[in-house]
Amino acid sequence: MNNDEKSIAYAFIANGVQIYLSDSLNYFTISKLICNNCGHSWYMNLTECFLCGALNPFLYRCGECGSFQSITKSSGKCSKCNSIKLVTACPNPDCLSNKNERVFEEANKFGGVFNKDSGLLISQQYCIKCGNDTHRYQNYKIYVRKINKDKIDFKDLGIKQEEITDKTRLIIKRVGKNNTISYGLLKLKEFINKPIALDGLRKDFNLIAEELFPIN
Amino acid sequence: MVDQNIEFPKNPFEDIFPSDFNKLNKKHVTEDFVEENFKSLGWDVFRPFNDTGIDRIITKIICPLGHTQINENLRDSACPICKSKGIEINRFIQIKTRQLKENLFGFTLKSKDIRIDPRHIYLLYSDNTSENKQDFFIVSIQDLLSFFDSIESNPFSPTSFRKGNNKLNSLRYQPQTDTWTWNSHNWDVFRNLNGLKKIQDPTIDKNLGEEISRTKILADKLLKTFSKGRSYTEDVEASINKVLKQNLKVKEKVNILSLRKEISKYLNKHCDRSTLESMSKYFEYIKKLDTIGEEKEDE
Repeated sequence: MNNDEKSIAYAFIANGVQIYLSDSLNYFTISKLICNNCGHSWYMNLTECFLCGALNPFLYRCGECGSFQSITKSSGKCSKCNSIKLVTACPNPDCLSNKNERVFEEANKFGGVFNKDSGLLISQQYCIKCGNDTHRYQNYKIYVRKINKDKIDFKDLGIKQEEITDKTRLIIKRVGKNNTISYGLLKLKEFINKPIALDGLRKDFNLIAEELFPIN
Repeated sequence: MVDQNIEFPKNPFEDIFPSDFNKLNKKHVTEDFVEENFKSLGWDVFRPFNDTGIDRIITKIICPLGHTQINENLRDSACPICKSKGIEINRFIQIKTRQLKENLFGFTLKSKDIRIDPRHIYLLYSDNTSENKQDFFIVSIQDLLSFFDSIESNPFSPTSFRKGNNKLNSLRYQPQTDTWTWNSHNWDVFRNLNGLKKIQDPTIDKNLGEEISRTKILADKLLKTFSKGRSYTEDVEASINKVLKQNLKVKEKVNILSLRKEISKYLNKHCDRSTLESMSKYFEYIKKLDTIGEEKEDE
């Protein structure tokens, strides 16, 4: 992986995209787990209440006075009443874990719904944007080329035609005056053996990531 | 019929035996072992830049009618049998390497390991079935869920699954017959070339949307049930299962969105600004774990 490719790879990572490399091929693969309906990112490290689907708020709730406080800033005591009965409760007042006394008591024995020991939390099941309940992988093969001309021929890219599929994309990086960088994104299959005009470049790499992983 | 003359897996590293490594230093070598074996049968293999849960992505161009041999990649040529143009298939592989203990292959599945894209594949690698013998079990998420559904066994209902410490200890090697079983069920169908052949089937790629829905139905059936184990009482188990059943009937997109909106309003009303800011920061941190890969997978 050369430095131009590595720089683009980090730009993808900053946009929540995962990078996969090959020992022998001169392109890399990008992948993202997305909502099957709207395309929003899907996070397997995010947890939900197993009982009602509420997202983990990452907060403690005081078992005495009911106030919420940050789990990262907690001293182990409630900042309002000094109680040590802090639990990671479900924030949905109508959740079974809050409405049913037995469930409430038993879940709190393990530190609350969002304490790992309760077994009442689960990885993301519903999209955080549209509420859909299915996800899928979206991936592309990425070539990166730094080009300082207005036009280029396919043959000058040094890309083997047999490696190009529907998922192959070329990212063009162009360094202009004052070292300003702009980016182009091409579906390479449409340019095999054709001249490529470098127009419509974007100043912001985030726009390239958004075009590859659009959210509806 | 799978060509049993192909040796798969085969040790690609002539200077070492897989048994030369122990559980503390084997992750790299075992993943390379898997990678080289897939490459030897024509797959293009990609390794993660950061360790994020998917250990390899493998791709291949195959005949959409399933004519492609197990050691063949059509690349830019048409299928030699039906002349169809090849399609690219992608598989997302999670590798779990274990050494047998008393002929048992024990491994853990957490809720974050259950992806319902049927191209998600578990590769269970027994690196020391016997001194010179290794075995792969190559199982798609859909096949794994179908298997548990068909044998009416559910490893996903206990609280230990959601706690992330539910070790599955049912995959057993039978040295007398050189076969593998899950309880009394034969698992040779997923073993080595048999498993590889299954994941090369283009059906899921041609009907991805339908196959995702099919996998989701299976996942809901198995994951949305609750077993009390030793942690909870029978009353609580019954109450929880009643709610889970109702949720499966009525949980529509609009319900979950409006629920989350109401919770957000509730928290805004009951938390001070610094608590809300801290909550939001932590939420962003957790989301980033999926791409920066800070969390380690369990061994």
